[in-house]
Amino acid sequence: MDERAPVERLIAEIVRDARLGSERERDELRRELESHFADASSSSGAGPSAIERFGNPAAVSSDLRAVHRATGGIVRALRIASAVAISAIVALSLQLGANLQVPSHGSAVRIGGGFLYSAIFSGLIIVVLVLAWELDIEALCTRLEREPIRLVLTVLIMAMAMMLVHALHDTSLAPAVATRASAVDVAIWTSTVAILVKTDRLFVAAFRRRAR
Amino acid sequence: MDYDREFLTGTVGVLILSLLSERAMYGYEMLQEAERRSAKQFQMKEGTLYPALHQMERAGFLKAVWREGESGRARKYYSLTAKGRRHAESKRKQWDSISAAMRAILGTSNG
Repeated sequence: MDERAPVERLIAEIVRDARLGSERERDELRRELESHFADASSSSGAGPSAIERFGNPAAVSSDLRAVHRATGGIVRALRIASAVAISAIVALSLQLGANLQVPSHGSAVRIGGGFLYSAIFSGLIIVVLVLAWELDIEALCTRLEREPIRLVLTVLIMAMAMMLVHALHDTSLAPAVATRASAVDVAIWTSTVAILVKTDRLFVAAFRRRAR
Repeated sequence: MDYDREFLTGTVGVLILSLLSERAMYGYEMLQEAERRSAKQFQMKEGTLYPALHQMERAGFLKAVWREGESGRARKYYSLTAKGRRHAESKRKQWDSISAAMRAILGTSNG
């Protein structure tokens, strides 16, 4: 039985009702469905036709419409902004805690002079990790807290890098201070990756529920 | 066998991640592979696969490229991104845990 005309009508109906945002996306969907039915029709045999096996086209186009609406550019920007905001709050809290100076006598608690540079460096860490996450650079987005040896090595390497930078500027940085600062930076790194993972999952789950 | 929609919801995602953990596949190939491995116990409405694939691609778990096969027919092959591989591993662990718990509960309640 020649299914070509009904298949072409079905594909046109799905592409139309999916209401995708661009001609490129509509062409892409059309090609994919044409490819599906080309394979399905050649393997139909005596069983249900390719159209019968495909299911309700209205349901498919409705789901496609919801998916493309829920995962568009604005939603992605919102997801990234959320992750950056939460990571920044966590990073600033950690740096504040690390840079607070509590004097032994009665004078007020104050923030150490290194806080500004630490905060800027933390911001750089967050930006690099968000970019790495969006560009899928796996090496930077591993969960360090699950690899203790790698975590410790990262802290030590960063501490040594800090001491080297200070030495190049003819200033000294005690190993204990460098290690503590580096540990805070690595904590910011691991928390940012964890926040990126959680934010991704929350947004995907939220829009999957909304699409139903 | 017809399955209730409530059981299938979420299953398709796990299925896709599991199959693509092995190699890149195009949509119809995933359907055939799922049917073959389940000895035709698992037969979903084929159209439901594509919204799931598109959602996972837009969420960054999959990437897709068009490739021409030996027959000259172009097909859209999907594969896991690094993010997708991590997600697949997480989903597999959750699935294993949930299905073991359900088997224990259902096995107990059946006596």
